[in-house]
Amino acid sequence: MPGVRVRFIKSAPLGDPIALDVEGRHLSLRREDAAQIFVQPE
Amino acid sequence: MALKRLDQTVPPIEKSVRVPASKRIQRVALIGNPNTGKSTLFNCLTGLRQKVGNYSGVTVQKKTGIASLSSGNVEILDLPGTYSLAAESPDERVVVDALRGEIENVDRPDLALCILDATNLKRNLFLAYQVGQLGLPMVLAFNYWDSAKKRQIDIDLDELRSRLGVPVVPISASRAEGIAELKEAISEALVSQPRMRTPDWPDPVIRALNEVRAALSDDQLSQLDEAALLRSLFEGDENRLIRTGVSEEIAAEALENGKRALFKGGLNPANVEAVLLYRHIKTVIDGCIKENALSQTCGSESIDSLLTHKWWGLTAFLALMYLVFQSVYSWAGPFMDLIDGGKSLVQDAVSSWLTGWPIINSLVTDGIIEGVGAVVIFLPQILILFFFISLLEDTGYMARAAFLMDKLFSWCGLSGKSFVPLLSSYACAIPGVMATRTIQDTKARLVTILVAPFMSCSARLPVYVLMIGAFIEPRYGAGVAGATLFLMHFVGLLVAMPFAYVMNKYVLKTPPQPFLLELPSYQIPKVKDVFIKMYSQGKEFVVNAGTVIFAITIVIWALLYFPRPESLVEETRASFASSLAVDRGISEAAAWQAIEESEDLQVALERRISSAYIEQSLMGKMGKAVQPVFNAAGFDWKITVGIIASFPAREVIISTLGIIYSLGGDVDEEAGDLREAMARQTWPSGPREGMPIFTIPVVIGIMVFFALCQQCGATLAIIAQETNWKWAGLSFVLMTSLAWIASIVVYQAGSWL
Repeated sequence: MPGVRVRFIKSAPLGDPIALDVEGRHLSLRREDAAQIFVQPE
Repeated sequence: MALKRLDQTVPPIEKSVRVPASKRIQRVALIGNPNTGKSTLFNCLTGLRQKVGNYSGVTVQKKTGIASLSSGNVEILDLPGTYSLAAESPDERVVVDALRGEIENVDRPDLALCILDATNLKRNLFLAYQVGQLGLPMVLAFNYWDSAKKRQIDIDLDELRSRLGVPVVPISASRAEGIAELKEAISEALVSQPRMRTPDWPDPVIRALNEVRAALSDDQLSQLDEAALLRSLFEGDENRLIRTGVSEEIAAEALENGKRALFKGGLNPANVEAVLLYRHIKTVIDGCIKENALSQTCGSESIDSLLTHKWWGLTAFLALMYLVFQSVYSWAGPFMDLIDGGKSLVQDAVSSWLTGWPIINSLVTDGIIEGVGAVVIFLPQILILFFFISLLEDTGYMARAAFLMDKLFSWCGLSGKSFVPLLSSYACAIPGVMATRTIQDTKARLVTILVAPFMSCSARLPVYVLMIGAFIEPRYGAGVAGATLFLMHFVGLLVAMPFAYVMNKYVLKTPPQPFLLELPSYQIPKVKDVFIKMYSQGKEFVVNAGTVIFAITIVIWALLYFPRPESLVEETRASFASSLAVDRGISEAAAWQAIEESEDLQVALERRISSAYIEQSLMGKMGKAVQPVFNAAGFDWKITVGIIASFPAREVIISTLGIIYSLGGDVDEEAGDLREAMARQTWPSGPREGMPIFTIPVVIGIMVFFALCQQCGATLAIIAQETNWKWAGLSFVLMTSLAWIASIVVYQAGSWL
């Protein structure tokens, strides 16, 4: 999904998965799945 | 309360003019993203008139309920929450198939009721548009209207209604606000059939659709509407085309041509739907939704900074889980004792009425009442566990728990959400298996279900206590005994993790699902939702699993009761008297006299008779026939009978051994008599003649066997209820063979050392 703003919140205490803020929603992804997301720094 | 309101909306006269008998009841599909309050709305609409089952062939739950509208009753079909119709997981496939009317025995719904989170309309409208594309009449419910107002999100409903083309009803499901209006809108929509105004697709999409059409024959095309073609094109899914009789090559070619047309038009086939739909949604909501810039700050993040904190988060998690486990383990105890006591009272009362009919007496007391008791005894644990699960889910904490724990479980195919089911399985696998419903990923759920019965449940404890108390403690002292008891609780877990890994890798070959977990805003749970959940889980357990547990109990009763020759009593009495005469060096007549006078001897005689009955019952014969299988593990036929009789419920071994060793059926694991009787057992014949049966390797072998074996009819019934009998059968075969092999390994290794 192009053009969506993603903000990294934190990773879980054991390192994986991570929590992201995607347009106001908090989502959690495993690192291997998150690696598929293409991001550009603002 | 909302229940009452529900009934009031149906005036009594309506009942006679409701849907004519010839016309089937109209069906409304309820669909929405996860965490949009869908279950709460479902509960509001249907109250307790719910039915839960499985879609045939898949482990996806099917929930339906009846709602009363002013126009009559309608059936509400609660579809699994999903973000998109692009069918990837079994859940999503069920949603698409159900909406298209392509599931066997499930008619196409007459209306789609789409629930959207009013505070996040942009993303929620994505699914609504996909559903609208399927051509069903629609009604939209905008939930969390109260929070949207609080966050100062202004939504121009009238303008949105005209732009979307379907009724929009603002609701706050957790406060039961807007429900009456929603029902009215559903009634009207069932008549007026409003359809969503779908986007005008740009030329490349039209051209791509035509490319796909060109490859198909008229007959095949007549089976596919535009919505089906669009979904195939967007998802690159050939199966929908193949189902109409197109060959695989042509279907693939058709989609390839379509994709090429998209590409030529400057669209990426991989994300064309998302890009175009979101672009369209943007124009639709433009000017209709005004968000206050400050509305984005939410309290959830500050709570999360504590609850998912590196140390505090884990501490809070462990404390909470300890509370849940303790409650299921100890709070249920008194209720279970109460049920057990009640059962004994009823058994005694009934038994005294039926003394004249021994077979009926035994069938009713040891078969039927025992069977009912065996079902009801699980209810306290199930209800308490689901009370907590409901709270954890409705507050939004369950997602955080999964977030914290995922790393520990992901390597072997389980997920962070497996933690709660597995922990509750330490109390009892029944509620544990039922709790796997919180795991959306079907594969992870199945693996969790298969692993749950390995956890050392409370019914294994009496077996450990008996064995350790009788043989480990007297020989090695209390320290070793305690350590053994502790270690026994990890045997199942140690086997379960690699077992899960193997199942995940080699048996369940579906590709792994990406792990996507929403961390929803924290909510205050609704009491009604919590209790409806407890009620429906309890009811479902009694109706589905309960009947199987009951049936198994009756079968085992029959195996232990029949045959029952009259002559056996006389033979046993005679041999009892003559051995008493030999023991005391008196005449047989004097022995009879002694029995007549001593109550203790009479009780001993009664028990000897029960024991003789078991020995020649079908179960006893089975035990002797099966014993060679367990010879390598050092088990004699009596232990074997105990094991077979324990398949419906493992704790039964205590009372069975009690009966076999002539101590009566009401012994418990602390009973000194039973421990002594077991210690006295020696091999009557064969190479080990005269040697004690219960050596340390045998004792540990028995405990390991009970730790690993699938000896619980109730668990099998619940696995079958949650999946199907194929998985229950697999669980039984695998666990039982693992237990058998492990007990042999323990005995052989132990004897060799």
